This record gives sequence, C-alpha cells and structure tokens, in this order.
Amino acid sequence: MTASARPAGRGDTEQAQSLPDDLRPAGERTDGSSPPRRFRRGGSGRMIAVLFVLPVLVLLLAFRVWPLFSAFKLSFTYWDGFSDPVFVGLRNFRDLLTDTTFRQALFNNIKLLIVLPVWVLFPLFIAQAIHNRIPGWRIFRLAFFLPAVVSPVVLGVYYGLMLRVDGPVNNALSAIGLSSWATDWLNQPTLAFAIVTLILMWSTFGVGVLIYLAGLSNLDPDIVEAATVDGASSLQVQRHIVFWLMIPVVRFWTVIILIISFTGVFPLVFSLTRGGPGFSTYVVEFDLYQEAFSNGNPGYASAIGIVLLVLVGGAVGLASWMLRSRVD
Amino acid sequence: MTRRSGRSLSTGVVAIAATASLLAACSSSSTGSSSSAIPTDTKLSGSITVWDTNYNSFEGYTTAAKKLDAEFTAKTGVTVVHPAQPFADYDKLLTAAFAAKSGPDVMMMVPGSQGVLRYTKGLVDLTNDVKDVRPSLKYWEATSPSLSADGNVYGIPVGTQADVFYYNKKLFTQAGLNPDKPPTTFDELMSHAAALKKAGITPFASGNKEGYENQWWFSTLWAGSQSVDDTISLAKGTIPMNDPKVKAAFTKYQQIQDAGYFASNRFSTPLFPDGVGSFSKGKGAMFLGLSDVAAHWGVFNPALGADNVGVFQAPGVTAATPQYYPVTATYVWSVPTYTPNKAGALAYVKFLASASSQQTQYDVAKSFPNNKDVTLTAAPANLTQMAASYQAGPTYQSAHQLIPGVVLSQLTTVINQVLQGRQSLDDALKGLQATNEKAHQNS
Repeated sequence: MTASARPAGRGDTEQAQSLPDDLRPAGERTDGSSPPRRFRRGGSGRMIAVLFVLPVLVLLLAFRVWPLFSAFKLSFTYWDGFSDPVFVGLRNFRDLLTDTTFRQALFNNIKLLIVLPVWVLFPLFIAQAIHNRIPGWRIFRLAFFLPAVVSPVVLGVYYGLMLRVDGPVNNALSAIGLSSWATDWLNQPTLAFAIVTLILMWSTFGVGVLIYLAGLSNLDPDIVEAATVDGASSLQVQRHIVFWLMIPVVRFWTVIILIISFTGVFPLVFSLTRGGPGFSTYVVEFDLYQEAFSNGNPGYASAIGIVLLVLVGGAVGLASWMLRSRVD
Repeated sequence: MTRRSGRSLSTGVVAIAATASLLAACSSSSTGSSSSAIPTDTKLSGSITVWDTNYNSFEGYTTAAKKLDAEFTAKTGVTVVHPAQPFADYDKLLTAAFAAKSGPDVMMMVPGSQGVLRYTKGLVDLTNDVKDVRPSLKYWEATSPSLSADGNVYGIPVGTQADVFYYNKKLFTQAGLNPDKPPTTFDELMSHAAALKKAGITPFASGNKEGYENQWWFSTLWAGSQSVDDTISLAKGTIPMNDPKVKAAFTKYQQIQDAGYFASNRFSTPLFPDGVGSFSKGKGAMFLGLSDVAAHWGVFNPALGADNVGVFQAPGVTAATPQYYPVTATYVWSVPTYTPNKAGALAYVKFLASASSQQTQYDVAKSFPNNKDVTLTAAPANLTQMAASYQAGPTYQSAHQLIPGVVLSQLTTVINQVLQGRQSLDDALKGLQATNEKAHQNS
C-alpha cells in the first residue's frame, strides 16, 4: 500500500513532517513538485493491477457473463439446436407456469428448505463441541469434513449400490434380525427424497463445521470471560453471547446452503435417482438438464435457468435481509 | 491398453485384413452386393470418426466392428476411428456434436423419435444414396417410417430389431404347460402366467427401473389390437395419447402387473444387465426381449440352451393374432451435414448395410440381419422361427418409436408410477397428451 492510499492515523503528521520531499504526497512538498509516478493513484500502477486482473476477467466474461447473457437471450426463443433460434417472447415463461414437471421440481427444491434450520444450526453445535476440545475432537473434525471432499457423483453411485434391494444395507438389516425393515429404499417417493436430503446434508455439513470453527476461533475471548465472571452459565454464554456474535457466520452459511439447495443437488440426483421414482426427486436443475439435452429444447431450458437464477438470487437476498435485520 | 499399443494392434489388424481382403478379392465372392456397397466413382481418402454405443460394450459386436473397420480401410484407404460411446448419455453427446458442428462423421442412431428422427435437421438427406441399397434390404416398408421425415431418408437401417417374447421351455413343462405351444392371444398369455405363478415360478422376468419395458410392452400390446393405420395416426398425433385405444393397451399391461405376474423387484432392477440376466439365469419363465444385439437369443441360447429357449410373437389382444408384428431396424447409420468427409462417411454407411458386412455381423456377433443376401448359417430354431414370422408378416414399425421423444421419455417414468398405484392411468395419459400436443406444435 502506498503512503497516499493508506488511511490517515495517529502519528502520520509527525512522520510526514520528518519525510524527505521525494516521499511526501503532492501538496505537502516543500518545493511544490509532484511525487514520483510510483506513488500516484492510477497511472502505471493501476495498469499493472488491471493486467493482473485481466486473465481472470476474461475467463469470467467468457464462461460466466457471456453464457448468462446468451441464456437470457435464448430464454425468449424456441431453438431446436439446429436452425436459428426463433423469438417467441414470453412463451417459454408462460409454459413454465403450466409445466407440471417444472412445478414438481421447484416444489422439491423448496421442500429441501424444510430442513434448513437443522442444516444451518447443526454444524454450529458440532463446531462448538470441537471448539471446546471435547475428547477426540481432532478425529471428529477430520471425520466430519471427509464427506465434503468426496465428489457427489461418487456418493450417488456408492449409495445407489448400498441401498439396492439386494444391497449391503438390507443384507445387514437381515443379518441382525431386522429383515422387516429391509425395503426398496430408492423406489419409494418419500423415502427416496429423504435419502437425497440426508446425503446432501451429510456431505455438506463438514464445510459448515469448518466455517463455524473459523468464526469461533475469531471471537474475542474477553467477552465470554466477562459473561462467565458475571455469573452466566455455559449454556447461557452459548445462547446469549456466542450465538449472537456468530450471526454473521450463520448468515454466510445460510446463503451457501440456499445456493446449494437450488444449484448443488444435480450431481447427486443424477447419479443416485435420476429424478425418480416418478418425479419425486426431480429438482429444477435436473429438469433444466433434461429439457436441454434429452428433450432437445435449449430455449425452454434457458428459461428454466433464468427462473432458477432469479429464485436463488431472491432467496439469498431475502435470507440476508432477514438475518441482517435480526442482528440489527 | 495404451494408445500406442492400441495403434500398433490396429495397424496389425489392418494389415492382416488387407491381406485377407486381397486374397478374398482373388477368389470368387459369394455375395455380389459387397463390392457394390462402396461407390467406385468417388475417390475416397482421409479418415472418418464413427460414434457407436455398442462398441466395447458387447464383445461379439466389437470383434465384428473391428474386423469390418479394417476391411473398409483396406478397400477404400479411409481410416476409421471408432471410439466407444456410452449408451446412457449418447443423446447428450449427439446434441453437443450438432450444436458445435463438430464430432463424428458417422453416427449410430436408434430408429425413431428418440434417435434419428430427432436430429433430421442436422443429417444428410440420404434419399438418393439409399436407392441402390434399398432393394437388398428387408422390411423397408415397415421400418422406413422410423428413419424418414417429409419423404426424405436420413439413415440406412442395419439389422432387424423386434419386440418378441422368449420363454423357458423347462419352466413351462414344470408348470404343466406344453412347451411347444406358447400363448398366441392375450387371454392365453394370462392363463399361462397364472399356471406358472401357481407352480411357484415367476411368470415374467423383468427389470424396469428405467421404464424401458413400458415402451416395449406398449408396442407389443398395441400391435395386438390396433392396425398399422392406427399406428400412423398415433405417430401423427391424430390419435391422442389419452385415446381409449392407448388406454386399452396400458390397461392390459396393468392387468399383468396387478396379477403379480412380474418379478416383484422389477421397479428397482435395472433392465441391463440385471433384468435380462434374471431370465438368462432361469428366474422367470417368460421375457419380453429383443431380436438383436441385447436381451436376445444370442444371449439366452448360450445361457439356457438353444433348445430350451422358445420364442413367440406379440399376442393378439382383440383377435387370435396380432394386427402386425412390431419390427424396426436395429440401428440406423446416419451422416451429419457438417462432416468434412461426406464421401467416406457415406461409403462406410453403405458398406455396413452390405451383405458381406451383415454376414460378418451375423457370424461373429450373432446379429439379426436385414439384408436379403445374408445366409443364416447354423441358425438356432428360435431365430429361424422369428425370421419366418417377419418374412410372412405383416410387419410395421414398433409404435413407441414413432411417438415424440419427449412423450416417450415421460411415458417411461409415469407408467411406472401408474403400475405401482401412485398415479391413475387417466391422469398419466392426460399428462402425456399435454406433452404430445406441445411436441407436435413445436415440430
């Protein structure tokens, strides 16, 4: 950071007075000269910064902004993938309103949010336990994080095999005399959806634990100590002090969960259930994929993508606003 | 296998094949059409890439394909690159190739709405090119609707594919049924199934997790009661998906399900390999399978004994015999418009349809040819019987392959829900018709 860019602080005046002219900002020089180029705002310094950012900017424009723009354009067209897209106005969006498969998929995404409180808060409890150094905390920390580094596709294939009718889960149940519990796990709509939800929570909550642990380690221990000295119990400290101090982290994790619940379910659904049985685990992302690649309707799929973007943006904005106002 | 060793092997195979074909050329050929398969008026060169979902998935098929590729290269000088492609996501790969205008020069397609008919805008019109091949092909009238649109032909059919019932004669005998008298009507099918169930035998081996069997059963039961004209009307959308005729076919299907004649775990069992394998292992007495490549006599005969595997056609539902036998091409070979080597690609496609190629496919891969000049050497009884049935006819395209692809895709899912009592048939058919209307509007 250059001297001119740094915010003014105590002692800056004394320091500036003791500096030689060539290191002083313009206006403070005894000879009225301009500072050397390296200290000027903009100029070559800014150019160098832009050069550093440029490659990433180009990638972002090429692979994020341009596809988004293209999808937006395509969402107003009928396109079969061969001929030029034909402008159809809002027809795709109107069709979405009556598309029962899309509605079911959207409903399933929203159903995932039922478990949001558990999904958000359970990692916080685990993180607090680890932060308090419960016996075996290192092993727990590793064990909780491990699923997060496994690809969702691997998880989907793995659980697909485990939960087969003749798979290890049913065999194990039979072996311990619980054969009446053995069932066709992935062929029952409610059960299949619950399984997808559980696997999704399990595979992501390790990340939540890590995020919360980072937040907990940054808390000012003096506040907790002061509350303890004032006679607050451990539970009261957690509930009335730590939880509220952790709200910014909770907000961050909630936003991440919201995004995952709309845009991070596809790999698991694709590899585990393919949206079935029936449409019971169909989610909006899967519907988008089916429309684009199985039904050959990229224009309609783009409309689904735009709606998904608006939904995620809306949900994230709403959640941020609600949590922010609560803290304020 | 490393790429280098693979290339060395390929070179070796090419060299051997080249020598063999030179020797063969010196001797008199038994099939005249093999030489006419490759055009002589165009100089061929370069290479072509062939996409194919069976390559490296089926051992016999792959062996035959390698042999044919080497033979084609030796005859034309065109190098054939033949990467294996996954069946499950093949449509996604094709979509991407058409969108990018880059990919294979020759495409294996399934016939009908989920295959060649979906991509006609990106395929070379082969109407003129097929003229010299067509006289040597069987069932052209029956199968051409699945590869033609607006009077233009977009692929060359190779092989004979049909929805056909196989049965285990030993299990029939065990249930007190005459193994030489399979059912010919729907009522007989039900009474046979009842007898088998009574004897503790699963009447129908099955694997319907993906819902593919719903398509096959629909085509079979539809052909048992509805005419070719009705099938054409269904394809055009003038018979809607919620028409009583469609409902009648699915109602019969549901009767079989409700009677408990299918394997109890069919909805969680994938068709390949588990569902097909259950029949091969004698776990079911009957199986609605195919006539070529997979789930067919080439798999069942070695597993159960050729004499033990009987075959019977779609049962007559409203009469003693079906209205027609549902038959289609096993594959349709097409050429995308973007190919830089159209001549080489066309020559390859014609070569595959030729008698000599199909003879190799029959001899090595146990495929069911559609070329009139192929000799079914040492054919098992069930294959001979099938060939005779289709020869006698009448035959027509399997109905499900003419329904719009998006409807068919939905059908596989919703009919499973209907069969498990999670949705009414009326609601399912209403939903299918809504999709059908939209699909026809878009087309």
